[in-house]
Amino acid sequence: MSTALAEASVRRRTVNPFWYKLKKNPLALLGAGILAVILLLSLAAPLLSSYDPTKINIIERFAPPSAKHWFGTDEVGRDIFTRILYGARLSLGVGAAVVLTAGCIGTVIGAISGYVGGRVDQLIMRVMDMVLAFPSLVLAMAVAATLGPNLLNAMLAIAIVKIPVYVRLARAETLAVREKLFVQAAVTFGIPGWRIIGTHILPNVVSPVIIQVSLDIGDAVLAVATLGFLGLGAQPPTPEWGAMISVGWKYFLDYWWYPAFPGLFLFLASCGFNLIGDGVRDILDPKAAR
Amino acid sequence: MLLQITDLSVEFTTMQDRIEALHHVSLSIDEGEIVGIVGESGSGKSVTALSILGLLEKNAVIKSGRILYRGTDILRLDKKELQALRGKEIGMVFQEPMTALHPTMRVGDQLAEVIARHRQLSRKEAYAQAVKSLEEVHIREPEIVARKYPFELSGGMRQRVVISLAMAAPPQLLICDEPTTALDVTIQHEILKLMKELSVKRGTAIMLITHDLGVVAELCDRVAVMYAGEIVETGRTAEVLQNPGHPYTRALIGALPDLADPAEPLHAIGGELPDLRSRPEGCIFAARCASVIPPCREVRPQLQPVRPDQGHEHQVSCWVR
Repeated sequence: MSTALAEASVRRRTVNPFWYKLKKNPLALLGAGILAVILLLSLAAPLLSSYDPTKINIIERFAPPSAKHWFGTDEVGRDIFTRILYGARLSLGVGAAVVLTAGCIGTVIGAISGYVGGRVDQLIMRVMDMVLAFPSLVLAMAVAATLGPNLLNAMLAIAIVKIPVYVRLARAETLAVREKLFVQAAVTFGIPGWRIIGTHILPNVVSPVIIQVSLDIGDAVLAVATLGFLGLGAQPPTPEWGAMISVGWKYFLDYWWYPAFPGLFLFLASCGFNLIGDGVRDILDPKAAR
Repeated sequence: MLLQITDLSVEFTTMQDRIEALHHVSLSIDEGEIVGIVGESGSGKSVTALSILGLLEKNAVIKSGRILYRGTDILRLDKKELQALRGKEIGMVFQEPMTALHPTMRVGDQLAEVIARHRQLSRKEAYAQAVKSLEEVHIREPEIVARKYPFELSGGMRQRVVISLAMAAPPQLLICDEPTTALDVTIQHEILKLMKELSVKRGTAIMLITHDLGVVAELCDRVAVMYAGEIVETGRTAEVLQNPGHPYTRALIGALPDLADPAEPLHAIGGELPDLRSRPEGCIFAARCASVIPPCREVRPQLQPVRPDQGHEHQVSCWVR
């Protein structure tokens, strides 16, 4: 009797409302589709292309798009299609990593700030305000330039710029959750503050954070590319989209394919992330639900 | 004596005003005793409970008094010492079981966490104990319920879970703030029975906050009647209910519906609570009292034994005898 009931309750959980709602959102599905294609292409890059993304072949420099080189070649004869595929791993991975890092750190800081309150809260929030007060790209450029131009520092710079957004978000949500009866009840059960933040506050503030993360990844992909474009991110010969556009745009009038294809993929990827972000918001935000 | 509150006054400060929510309240609870606190909304019942746990809002100021728990003054404890007291020595059950549980954590895990903490058990042992404690609050098929989320349970079930959470240590004193108000009448009775049973079995004293005299009659050894932040009458439950000394207690008893005569209209107490920004000079209940006499409006009465020749337990603060 009891095992039958247990099985029934396990089986019922297989209908996940998240996927159900996602299926009803064609735009988000489109975004997911675009990203899935780019992701698959980049993972399958060694199978799809026989070229090495960094191998120089001067003889074939600036070859136009053809059956041999789908997206043409660059100024030292590297296959652009191949470089875009390998670059996708970098650009998307870095974008996601940066936002996830910033999201995790920011959320924890925000939850602590909101739960503890008082002077700790004041101090944390004023520091965050200072970071927010700068235009984010300028600040990221300053950080990246100070630390030295390489990909890791660019990631760090973007993460630092993104953290305050999550701190504010998590703090605001924490202030609301903190007053809920189940948190006060947990205090009377004798659960210490750090456990309450971990088990009671954090799981209940993640939903707006997830929305923000999904909206921010596209932004971060662009920011990484921007720093790369400015020469503050990935350094040559790393196949990074921003860096490719940065070199390519100088040749735009004569060899349009060089900056156009990396640009197109950057556009598609950030569109994909934003569509997914909007979709996730529609699903998770009860106020936006129709 | 397990808990002894003496002369406790609590004041809330707002932007413009100071509101005295508790006015020289004295109350004691013995080991294993069940004491009821009755009064209408705003009479200071919950503030009393929250002061014991050190959970008053930040704008509350303790003006005077002591709360001795086994001889230590709770009001003088620092945050850490208070934290050690909560749950382990003094537990609390809230009015709304619907919102008192963690919404995204399985019931068994919530219980196991608290049990592991208080009884120094491993996670696995604690979970086994959690299932056992669900059984103790008469939940059928505890293994299955332990795997459920709160939203999958009914109100009565949730309140049972909350009670077993509050009793996890088990504490010496359980404060119950209107534990059955949000529940069905049929469930109410079972929850009360359960609380009595646990109290007897574990030797836990219970401070039961309610506005329902029926609940008090069913469960409590002693009762304190509160009005506008003061205790106006206290004594053994049977004595207070059969022989009420204060007009407010009489009015509360009179307000209970009479099942023998359903056609009779309900008796309400006229008027409302006084403005606590400035307490009247005389008796706090004078403005609503049916049997008011001249000294009532001028001199504040003190708690006095109703019949000094028969002991000091039944006390009332009223000029009218």
